[in-house]
Amino acid sequence: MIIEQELQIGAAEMERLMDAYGDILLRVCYLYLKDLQLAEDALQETFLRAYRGYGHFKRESSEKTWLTSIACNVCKNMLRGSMKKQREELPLEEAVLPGQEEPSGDDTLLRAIMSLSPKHREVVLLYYYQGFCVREIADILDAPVSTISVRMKRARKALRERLGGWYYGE
Amino acid sequence: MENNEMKRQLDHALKTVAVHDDLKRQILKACEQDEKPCVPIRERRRRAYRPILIAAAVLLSIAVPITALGATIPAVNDIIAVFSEKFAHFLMPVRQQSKVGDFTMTVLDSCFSSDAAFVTYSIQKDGGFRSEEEMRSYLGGISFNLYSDQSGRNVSGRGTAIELMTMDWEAGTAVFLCYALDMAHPDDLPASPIGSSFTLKASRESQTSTPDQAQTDQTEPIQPEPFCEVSFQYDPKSEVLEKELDLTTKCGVVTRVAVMPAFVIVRVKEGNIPVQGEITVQLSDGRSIPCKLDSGAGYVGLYTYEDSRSIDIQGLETINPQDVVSVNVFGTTVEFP
Repeated sequence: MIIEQELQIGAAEMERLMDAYGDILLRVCYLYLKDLQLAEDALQETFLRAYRGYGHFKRESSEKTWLTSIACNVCKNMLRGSMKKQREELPLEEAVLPGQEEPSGDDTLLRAIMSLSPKHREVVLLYYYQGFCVREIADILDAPVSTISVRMKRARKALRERLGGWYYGE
Repeated sequence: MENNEMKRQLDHALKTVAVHDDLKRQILKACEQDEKPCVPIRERRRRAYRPILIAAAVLLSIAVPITALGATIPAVNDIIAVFSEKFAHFLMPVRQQSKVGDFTMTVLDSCFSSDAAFVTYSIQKDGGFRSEEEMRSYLGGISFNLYSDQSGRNVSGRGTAIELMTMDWEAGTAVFLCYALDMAHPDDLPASPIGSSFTLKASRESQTSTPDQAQTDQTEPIQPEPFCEVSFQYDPKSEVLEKELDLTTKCGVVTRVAVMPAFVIVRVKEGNIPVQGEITVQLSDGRSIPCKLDSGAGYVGLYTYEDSRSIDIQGLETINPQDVVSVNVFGTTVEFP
């Protein structure tokens, strides 16, 4: 009976979580996987895992950090799987967004980020797009802070080279 | 760029990536039923790959009767290569997935003159390497060769050089440049390379043979194991500027000068190549680009635009040959066109 009640709460919470974080998590998955269908697959798996594990969520981190951590792991698992060979080498030109066969605006930054190596891409996305600090990223990726700092430094350098004078931030 | 500006730009670029109602309903339903989520998505994926499966079935249906008539058809992959470049490129990941294991090889750029070929390509290993040393050690065991699909000849076998241009061991990616000088042969390249196609093959020394086996098999040298290959066509966009000459210079009789996006090739009938320096390219905008000797193979000299190689792979596109108005060859100016 208690378990059933927990699940019901979880289902209600799920809709709230999806409304609050669904879009941004889907975009992170898309930037990981370069494929919208795979990203939707990853988002579904993310929320299913969150639903199953919500009772164990100790709130030591924010909901956003927790969900992002799950999404990152799901995407990494998918990249390790059989789909990776097809997706990782997908040319950027083929990573077209739905309903956006011709980019509506300047997508220089998006393409520059997507051309980074997977490890550099994820720290850039988590830092600049999700707004996490280095320590939170280290928690999400289960890596030492120093490692994340080095990856951030290298990723910034790579971005700077790709974007030239367009990029001048830290 | 401030962090907020970067987020705003990404939000704008990704505005069409959003959770639509159907997806939301599907996820909530999956959660309520606690079912595996991949069922509907697998169905979507199956639908997406259906045209490829149909194409493969058609290819097989063509291949089987031809084989029955006695023709030699080694594999469906080879048949795929004779289709148009776009189609072959489209199917390439499928082909590589089945043949390459962890590795993917991609031709990034190619450029051909009447007697030389330049191909840049990347090779990527899933999951990367644990260290730069590991990657270098692995790449050291791989050889690359360029074959003319017209003649089947290994055109990179003569005067070939392979250079490692960039390497990212974490991403498992290495970019190579292969240039083949003195490749002119009537069967390798017709009068115009347009329409010509080539296959780049990567091979790795067999790890399975033992020293004893090597001794007993002395009459049959151990063949490297081909593990990755890419077919591609000459790209008309990569035009070269080329001129036949009979120009007596202080370094010999220059018979040909070819200007390519990354190199100048000078061929002499008599004299000694390599000759250091003394090649300068004059551009229509007034710039004068000195070149330095990169490699010499007999009577063919390969000169690189100074500093262009330090600009990473983008250096290959440093100069548009169409912008070249003249080349100073060993003190004598040759005007183009």
